[in-house]
Amino acid sequence: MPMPQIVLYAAMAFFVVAVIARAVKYARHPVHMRWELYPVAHEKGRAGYGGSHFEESEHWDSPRQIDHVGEARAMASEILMLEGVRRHNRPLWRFSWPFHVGVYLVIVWLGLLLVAGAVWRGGDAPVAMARAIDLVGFVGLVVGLWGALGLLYRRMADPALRSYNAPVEIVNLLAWIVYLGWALGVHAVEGGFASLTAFTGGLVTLQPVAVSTPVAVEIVLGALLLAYLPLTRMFHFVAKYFLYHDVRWDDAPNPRGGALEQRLTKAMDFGVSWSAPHVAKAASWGEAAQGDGGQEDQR
Amino acid sequence: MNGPISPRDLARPIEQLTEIDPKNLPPLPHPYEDWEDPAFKELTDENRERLEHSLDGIVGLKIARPDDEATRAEYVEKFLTGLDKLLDRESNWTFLQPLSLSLENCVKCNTCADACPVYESSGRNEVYRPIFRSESLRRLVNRRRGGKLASMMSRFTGNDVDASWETIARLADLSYRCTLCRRCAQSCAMGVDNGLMTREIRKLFSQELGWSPDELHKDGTVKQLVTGSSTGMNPKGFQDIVEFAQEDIEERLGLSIEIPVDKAGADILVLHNAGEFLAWPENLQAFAVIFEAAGLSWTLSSEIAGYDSVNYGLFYDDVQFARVGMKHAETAKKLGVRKVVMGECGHAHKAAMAIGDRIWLDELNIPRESSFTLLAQLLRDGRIELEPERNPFPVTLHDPCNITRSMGIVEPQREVIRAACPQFREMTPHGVENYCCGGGSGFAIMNSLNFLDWRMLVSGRKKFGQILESFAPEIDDKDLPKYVCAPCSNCKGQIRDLLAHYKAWDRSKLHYGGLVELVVNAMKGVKPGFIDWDEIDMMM
Repeated sequence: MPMPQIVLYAAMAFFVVAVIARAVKYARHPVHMRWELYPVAHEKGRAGYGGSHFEESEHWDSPRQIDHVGEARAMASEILMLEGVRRHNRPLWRFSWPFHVGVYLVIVWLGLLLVAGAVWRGGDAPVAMARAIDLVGFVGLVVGLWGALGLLYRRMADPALRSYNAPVEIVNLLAWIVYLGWALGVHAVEGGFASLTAFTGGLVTLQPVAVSTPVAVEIVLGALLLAYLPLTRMFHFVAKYFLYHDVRWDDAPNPRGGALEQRLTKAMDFGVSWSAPHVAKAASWGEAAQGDGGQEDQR
Repeated sequence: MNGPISPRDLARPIEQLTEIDPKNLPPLPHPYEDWEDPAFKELTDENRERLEHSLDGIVGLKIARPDDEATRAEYVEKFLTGLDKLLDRESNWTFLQPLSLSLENCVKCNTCADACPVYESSGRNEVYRPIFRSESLRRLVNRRRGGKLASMMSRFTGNDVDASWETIARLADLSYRCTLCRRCAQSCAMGVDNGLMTREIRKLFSQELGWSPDELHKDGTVKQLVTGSSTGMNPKGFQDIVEFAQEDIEERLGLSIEIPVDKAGADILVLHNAGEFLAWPENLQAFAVIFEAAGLSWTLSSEIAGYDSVNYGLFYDDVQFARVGMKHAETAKKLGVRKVVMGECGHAHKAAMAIGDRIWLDELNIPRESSFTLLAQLLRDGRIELEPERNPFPVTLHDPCNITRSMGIVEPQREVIRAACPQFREMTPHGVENYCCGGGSGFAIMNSLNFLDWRMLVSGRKKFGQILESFAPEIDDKDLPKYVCAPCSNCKGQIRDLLAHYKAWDRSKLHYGGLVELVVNAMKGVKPGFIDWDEIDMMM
């Protein structure tokens, strides 16, 4: 099997494993104290101004009104429009948004390539499909490249950003720029994505398809980027899910006798290893919480 | 030091990393164009010799400088061990997930900087930039977790903060230059929370090294757990306060009210910040007048910690937080009340109702409610009636961060204030986007050496400017009293100090107070004049 295929299969496998590992790591953290931050998007009728269920007198007796549509809308707005950045940092958003849109389009483009490859098995896809691939591919590559170049410029030109960005952050952006730029150049010369459509057909059918050296380089670059992403902060999609759903919007109450209370009761049996004098004598959190913290010598 | 400062400079063995020049602070709005900020109080030679001040020349934490290198090295080793515990699923189960997510996912876009009132009000001093603090912790953690490889690659990855005595001493102090208001977290599209990381730094130092401000620990949670209140008030002192309050209500309003204490089986246990009893007894009195007029079944408690709702553990230490929380829960259980109502104290709300929701377990899980929602409900039910024309003066509302941004209680207090005050106007911004008073996270009670200067000139500056702007149409009318409603004891203390520092009564007739005082001042059937402007004028 030619090298581009091998590298790509390996990268895809690594990517999937790394993403799952990261998600499992965050999901397996123990239950934590409430630390939500308002507005919470699923507060029905209140999310607009940041209100909560706590605003009701005797809130424990009134059913919580969860607005799933509102939450989905907030998520869509955050994912598609980068609403948080747009609202709080417009100069950055002008590059960050195109970069993300470019990446989303590149993902759609890769999906279309896979569909075309799977359905037409390396043969000629219908004109409409080929045009869709061309349109999404070129727009995604151009917009993504523009955004990545803009982000690189901002990170290097803005003194505040520059002083907190290590070389690795610049390398991360350069990795995108090299991949997007190379792919754009290769397919601009080729005049489309026919070679990649044939290649993905081979990927799906496990029958290697030979590609030109520039396309092979593009595939290897893409594969390396795919494998590198989960090792960096660039891949923050999974973490962002947990940051919002498990922390920022986690306003789940703890009713007596509920499942949450059981988890918390177990956590109270966890050991306390802290060494300061006012803590050190407790064997468990439950025991520590019964002390009075006095009589220790400060500093 | 000269030149730009970065987190790795925390380790620099120099006398002081940065300083704040009052001349570089942003100007205050009208009518303070002529205001000249005083210089920060000079530390004495003895204090400079004895106490750590090498971050910015401000002493907040009062860390004693060790005499010998061995002791310094021992503290550094303890700090590194503390880092491990911070990332341990048992030792830090309470906040491990939020901490890990925030540590590992900052994209360093710096959006948080523009949201931070301390950074802005300091004249954008680099060490107060929210990411400076969190990035310092992040780099130390990454170095610790990455071992030798991380050290070798530190320039490339940016994990370049060395753990030294200077680093840990400055980082400890730096964790007390943030009010934990979490405005930065709100602006973070990723959901990263610099406020949380600041609290985790404080926690590490408290739970592993025993470093915490005396005001919060020795004279705070410890005193509360041992004597009953962080004010030092014991149960007997509390009973005296209650008797005084009853006499004062009779004298001022002609009402004979017996304030219930330890009334088993009452419907409601009211938890007040005991600081109110000493500094603002009218707040306790106003609650009593309202609750009696509404015919509620309620009580106060004289149990240890049961008459003081504060829980300073919220600001620096999970163990102390849990201990105080348990005392409050046990008090409620012992009295057999149906619910607990939180008085006007922001952090106590958050400690008992939000975070405490995962501490008050099983039979201790007695429902808790804000006094704001109860007051709004009493008005809706017609159990108290108001004559708002008795509050003809301009009023604005300060939103305590812990109640709004961290709990989403925004409208009930507005419902009450709109019903009671025809001249009410909002601050800009307000609600969940409010600015901290500058006294959050315990600062309001930290006054030692030059820390008070810092919280007047820097951390409270934004709020003071906001107050002035909210009264802009009448600010030049020196005969018209103006009321800043601050329904939180810590915020109220900070605003009291700000108005005094900036001579705001003399210059613009600005005063402050709680929410219930405005209600009683306008309550039908209650003698007018609960807010006595003549008396206030005499006291100023």
